[in-house]
Amino acid sequence: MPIIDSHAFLEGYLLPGYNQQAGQVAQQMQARSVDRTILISARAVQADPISGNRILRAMLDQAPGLYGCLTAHLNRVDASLQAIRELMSSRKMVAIMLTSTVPDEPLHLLVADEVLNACRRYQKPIYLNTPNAACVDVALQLAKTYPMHKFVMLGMGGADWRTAIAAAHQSVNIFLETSGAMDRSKIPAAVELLGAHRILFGSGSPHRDPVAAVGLLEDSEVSEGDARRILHDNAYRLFNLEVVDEE
Amino acid sequence: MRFFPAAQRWPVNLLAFADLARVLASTGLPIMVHVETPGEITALASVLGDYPAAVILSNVDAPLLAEAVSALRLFAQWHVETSRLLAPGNIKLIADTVGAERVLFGTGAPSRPMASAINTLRFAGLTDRARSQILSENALRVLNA
Repeated sequence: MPIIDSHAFLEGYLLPGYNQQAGQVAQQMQARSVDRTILISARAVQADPISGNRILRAMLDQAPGLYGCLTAHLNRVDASLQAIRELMSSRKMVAIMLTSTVPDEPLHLLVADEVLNACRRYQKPIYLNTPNAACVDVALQLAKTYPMHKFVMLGMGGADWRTAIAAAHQSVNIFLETSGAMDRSKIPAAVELLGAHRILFGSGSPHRDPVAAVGLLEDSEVSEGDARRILHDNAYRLFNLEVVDEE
Repeated sequence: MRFFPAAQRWPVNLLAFADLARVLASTGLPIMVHVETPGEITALASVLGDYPAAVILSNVDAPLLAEAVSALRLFAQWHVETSRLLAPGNIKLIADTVGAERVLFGTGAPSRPMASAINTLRFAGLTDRARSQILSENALRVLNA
């Protein structure tokens, strides 16, 4: 079954030899039968949105199956806006992630507004970290305020995954990404309430091995059709990869 | 005997736990302790450093990895289980540093997926011998099963 990992990082891992460069990512993908990976620059998240996103963009051409999610840092708004203008017209950059200094804390809505307005012209999905219910609440507010954007809740609420599912039930422009809590109950619960069409497979690699993330789905007892949608079809459609790959 | 200090909200160096550990020492029973935050393993050393039977650190994940390896280097009776070691390179780091015989396979089932732990071990880059030790041999030895 084809796999798109919609949540992985370039750099930022404690152990050497993992996801430091495109070749290492590609090698891991091949060994684990992952066909496509959407990478986020850890350097852009933790330090510099301009250099981090530029390095990421340059890496995407070095191996097949790699795509980028640009990081817009709400504590570095000007630099983030510059990175958006410079890089988001690239088809290989398929999403934008909003983040702040402390990823576990909810985003500030006023600052997020400025960046989201700059993102409108690109019409690409917006990633939001949702490791807990407080972040889910803000993500839901943003999703309702910006119905023209599609939002991806990274980690689907962590241990508060029930809150994330409820939020996605309230707003049809919310997608749930499956990294976060390794709880066998969460994917079946999401499929039952939402259907499988708004759930995306993601690992958080290299902080979690993609095969461990696949294991969560394997043990979730969802149908083969739903597993295919979650592992591949939903992301393929959401990120418009048919068009991207034609480039 | 298995202990869950964080879930029950007591520090691992609680004097009552030390008393209990002294009683358990005479039975030779292995002790498994669920750890969650940095510093817990270090604090545990003052209570279980000289425990005569096996001590198994449970729930160790990447942020606790360095502390766990340091503890396993210090105490030959200490082991670690794999249920939260789901990042690439984690299990291999422990096996290469202190030996595969100190690692026990764990899943966290039923709430956590067994397939995740199995898949991660399969792709951990270990020898067949090391994988066999982790999957069963070590547990059989440590738990006297």
